[in-house]
Amino acid sequence: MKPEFTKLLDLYKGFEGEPGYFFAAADKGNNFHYYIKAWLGYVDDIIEEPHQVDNKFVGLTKLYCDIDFDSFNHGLDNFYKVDDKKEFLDDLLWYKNNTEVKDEALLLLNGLVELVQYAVNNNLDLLVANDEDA
Amino acid sequence: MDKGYSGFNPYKTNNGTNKHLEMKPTIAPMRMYDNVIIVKAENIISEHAEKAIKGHPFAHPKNSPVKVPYDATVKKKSKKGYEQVKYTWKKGGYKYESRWHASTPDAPNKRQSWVVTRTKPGSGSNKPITMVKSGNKWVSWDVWKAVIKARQSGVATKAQLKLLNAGHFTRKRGKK
Repeated sequence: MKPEFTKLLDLYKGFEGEPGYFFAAADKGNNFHYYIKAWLGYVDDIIEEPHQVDNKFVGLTKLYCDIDFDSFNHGLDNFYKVDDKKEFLDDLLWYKNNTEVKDEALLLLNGLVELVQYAVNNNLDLLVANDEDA
Repeated sequence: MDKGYSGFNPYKTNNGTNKHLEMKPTIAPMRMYDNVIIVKAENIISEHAEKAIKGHPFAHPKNSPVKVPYDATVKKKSKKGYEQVKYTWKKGGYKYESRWHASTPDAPNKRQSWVVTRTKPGSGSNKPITMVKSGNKWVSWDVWKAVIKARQSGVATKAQLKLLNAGHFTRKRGKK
């Protein structure tokens, strides 16, 4: 069902032409209920020291360090669907509680926590893409 | 045969008559075949790239600051007032990305340009290491990131702006 409103956090404006990420909480009909656009540099600021769980990257860290977005392609299928939203949220909360993220990167981190919590609470998919795919 | 001519003339037969009146020679230079067009290897692009660059000749991979292989992945983004074509490929343990974007009304750099990065994938507990091509040098992503932030805040030094400009290629490869 289409949402009555869509919430957007835009941390990409002014960075057009630079690499970035697109995060969305979407229903099965691919309607976005909440989405965030961010310059890659702010994601990089959050993951200054990559967090690991049992010597593995998880959540946002895995996305940033391990996922090759060019390995899957085009249109809405371009989105990487996060299987474990809880794990993703825990990874974000680790950065929130254990690092000193500042300024726009902190805005992004708080926005992501809110977006993922929203997706969990409303049983929505958590989708991620490179900016050019979204 | 023409007087004084000792080589092969593709437009004449051995007895000097015009070629179209005679049988074609058994061995002919390639230019005699109507259906063969000879182009430089770097001008060959995939069908996907051909579509992506339509209307944007500067986005042709031959204009990339680094050579784009034929089998590079091509992605195009078209949004309001702003287009982008990205070529990615892997070589020598790096993932290369050469990205063309049209003039961007909201970004400080308003001209169409190319930006090239190469990334060594993360391993173990390490983050991926990305370098950005600025002129003839590769600068680290951390340096590049700091320069972009400084520009956004309006506090970039002359040296930082120079580095940024050198990393946004606005001319064809090899042209000054």
